[in-house]
Amino acid sequence: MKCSEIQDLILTDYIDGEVNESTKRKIEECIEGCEECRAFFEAVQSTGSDPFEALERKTPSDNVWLNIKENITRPASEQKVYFLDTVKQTFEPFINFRMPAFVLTAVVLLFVMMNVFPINKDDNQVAYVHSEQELEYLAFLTDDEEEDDLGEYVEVIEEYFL
Amino acid sequence: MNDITNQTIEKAANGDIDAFELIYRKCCSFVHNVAFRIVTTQDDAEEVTQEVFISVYRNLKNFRFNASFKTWIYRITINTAVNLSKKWDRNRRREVSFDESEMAVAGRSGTDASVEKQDQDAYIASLLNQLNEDQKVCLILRSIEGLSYAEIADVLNININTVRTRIKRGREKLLNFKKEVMNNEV
Repeated sequence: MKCSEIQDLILTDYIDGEVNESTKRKIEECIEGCEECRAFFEAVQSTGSDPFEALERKTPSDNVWLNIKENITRPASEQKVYFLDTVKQTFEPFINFRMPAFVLTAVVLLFVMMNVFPINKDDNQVAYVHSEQELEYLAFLTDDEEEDDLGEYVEVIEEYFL
Repeated sequence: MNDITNQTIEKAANGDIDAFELIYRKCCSFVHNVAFRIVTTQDDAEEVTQEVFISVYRNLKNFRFNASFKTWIYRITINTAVNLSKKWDRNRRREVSFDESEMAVAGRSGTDASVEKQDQDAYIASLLNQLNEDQKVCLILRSIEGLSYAEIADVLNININTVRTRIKRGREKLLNFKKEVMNNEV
């Protein structure tokens, strides 16, 4: 294993105890034998690991539970007001700060959607009528009876001139 | 935390306040602790804790018992703390700016032990402030809460390798930050 790979593992899996025994042994051999890896390990330990260990656990004051209890046992009518307030608060950032970006994004999206998915409900009907007309026209062209009628008509004219 | 039974959760979901208080007593410490490291002040952390438990109470009926209850509460805590932190940051940015370090020094009071704790909290906050939101959350869950990579992936609903990458990038930033500080001191 290269030193760069060892150092990547030191930064994550090794310091967090997520490596298996054989990898752990290889890393520790490298820390013992390689000055660069040892210095790196010590730097990671002093900056990325040790300061976060044995930190005092924070606990909320007693008022927190009292506030929660008051809130969840509040009558339904008052909770409805709270819900509306929450919705208002949720959309407040968009209204106050992101209005131009929000509107611009909506317009661009609408434009793209209209181009990608054009709304034309008569498309199929138009295609259907076209194809029906075409079929009739083709039928007319290939209809034997019509051809015969025309033939008879031509013959009559020829006879008239003769 | 692990001794919260499904029966307790069901009772709380049906409006039993005593059952819900039991859940609160078992979970409030880690919820508040995570919230404090994200929002960095005790008052804000208490507000986040309050919002989290109100949200938990209102959504208990949607909880699926095939998932871990602790993971579910961690997820609500992270989402609430990050969202409120962003909202408060935006509001505070509009207020008059001030030198945070001067404020921190001016705010120190009490016994030597309490001053030391305030210093430690300020130091941790200054380290975490070097990171983006994703890296910060992963490092808090790993280094302060002691969750495994798999548990973090579960809480954040992301791939385990994404957790690994965020932790790696975060620690690299901390190393560079320390180098910069040392160079400035010299």
